[in-house]
Amino acid sequence: MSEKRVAYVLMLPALIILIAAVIFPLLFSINVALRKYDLRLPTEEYPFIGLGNFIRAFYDPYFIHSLLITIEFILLGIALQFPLGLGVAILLSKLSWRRYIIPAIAIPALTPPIVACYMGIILFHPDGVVNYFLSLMGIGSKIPWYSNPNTALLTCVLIDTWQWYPFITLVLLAGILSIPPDYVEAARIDGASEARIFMHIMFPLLKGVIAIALIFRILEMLRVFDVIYIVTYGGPGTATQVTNFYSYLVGFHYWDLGYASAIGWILVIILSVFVTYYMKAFRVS
Amino acid sequence: MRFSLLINILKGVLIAILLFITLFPIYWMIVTSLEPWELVLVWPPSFLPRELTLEYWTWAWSRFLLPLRNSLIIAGVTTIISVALGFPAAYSFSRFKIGGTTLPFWVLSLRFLPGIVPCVAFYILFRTFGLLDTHLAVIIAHLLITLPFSIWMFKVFLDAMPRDLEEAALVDGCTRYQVITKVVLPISLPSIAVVALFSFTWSWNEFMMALILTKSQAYTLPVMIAGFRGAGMIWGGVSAGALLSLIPAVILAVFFQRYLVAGLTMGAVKG
Repeated sequence: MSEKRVAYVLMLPALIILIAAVIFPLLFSINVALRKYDLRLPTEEYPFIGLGNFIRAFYDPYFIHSLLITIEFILLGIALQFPLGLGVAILLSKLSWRRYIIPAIAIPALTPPIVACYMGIILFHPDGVVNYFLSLMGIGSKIPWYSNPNTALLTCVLIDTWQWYPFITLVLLAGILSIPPDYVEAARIDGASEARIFMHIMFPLLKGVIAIALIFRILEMLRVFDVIYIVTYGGPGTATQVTNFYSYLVGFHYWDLGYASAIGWILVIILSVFVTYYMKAFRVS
Repeated sequence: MRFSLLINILKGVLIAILLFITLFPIYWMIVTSLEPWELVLVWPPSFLPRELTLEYWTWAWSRFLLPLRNSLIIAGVTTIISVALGFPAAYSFSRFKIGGTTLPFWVLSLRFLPGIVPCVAFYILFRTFGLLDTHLAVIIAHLLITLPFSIWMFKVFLDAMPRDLEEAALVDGCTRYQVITKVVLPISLPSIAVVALFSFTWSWNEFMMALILTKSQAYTLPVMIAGFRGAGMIWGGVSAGALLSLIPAVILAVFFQRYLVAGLTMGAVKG
């Protein structure tokens, strides 16, 4: 039997499943996005309306609002998770006994997001432990974390941070440990300060892993759903209604599957454009 | 000398704070599951349970048995299919360069698909075929995540594996299939364990698709826990159920430390 044939025989079962479970549903959902596919309508016919659902999105204030909330979520999330993740990675890289610490730190990233969010509800309850610790530090008022529109999104970001800063830490730690120690040693002997060593030697060598860690996080946050569903359900009002959650409401609360699918595809387009430019900017492959 | 002692103390303090932030929520869930409900929210909170009860664990055991079973079946079957189909496909990608670089990359990008896109399609299709609220529906949906993951991870592992042994076996007259079963598979057992455990965890943790595709029969643990959101939540009972669903995470974190980074980044960064 020829080698080529072996190659295809090995590939075939997975390819069949991928076509059935991935490609077909994706094509099908494009089809749905181009129709007035509203399950509340009493018909079995869903008329083709071309780009109608996509155009509708641009005039939908809730959709635009949801995009802004998503961007806010991502910016807040990165602002918290990246410095924390990097700091912890540097700290761990200086510890010889880090392998006893890493399992504890890795657990959040492998925890079911729903469980992390559920913990968040308990901890951020007005009578909960977070407010208790704050009161020990002199902040006496009980903050209604997730039921106040001003703090609800921050609460979701904090829960997301608890779960995902370890991801950034683990990735950057792997990067730091792969830097040959001689580089750093040589600079130290030459009298460079720790800050300069980091800025001029470690940072350039870490650019690749930083780019990977950030893009994984940004793309995951672009489709954030679980934490919003559990902790705030998009509320109070629409204060935490991110796009992926909004599309869920449109599709599975108001049963307008055509419009929901169109919103999903707009997210895919944003995501692809972003990835293309991002990869060019960082020259990662 | 004194300066470095100071630095070491500082490191120790930072690590302690870090471990506290990371592990306290889990500890607090254990407390919540063991303490009578009326006492959990008493201000100020007590960090050791004031009274112990197993009431919530028995409560959880009776209610979480069905979703636990569903989660085990769904994650188990998803894992078996992903590994059994993913390994040969990855071998093919890795050794024969089928599909060049674009096909594997495309497979990788599936991980970031916004949940709503497959959900709408699966919902309509499964409704048509009467598959909603069955294990099969969720398994097919989860394959969308785990099969690309497993193909990609196996490809990363196989690419890093030296080929001398395989070539020697081929020269000695083994067929390609014999090479795979007799040479490649035995060396790959550790990576198979890693990919299987990660696939299991991704399926076990997945929420959005399981939420949309199930109702009263095939719902998984995350869907069950999410069902208690809002008022009237029985915190102790839900905590007990939530602790059960942490088991795969703990196993992975404790026993597969070396592979965590590769698993979490789909091999983009090696640990």
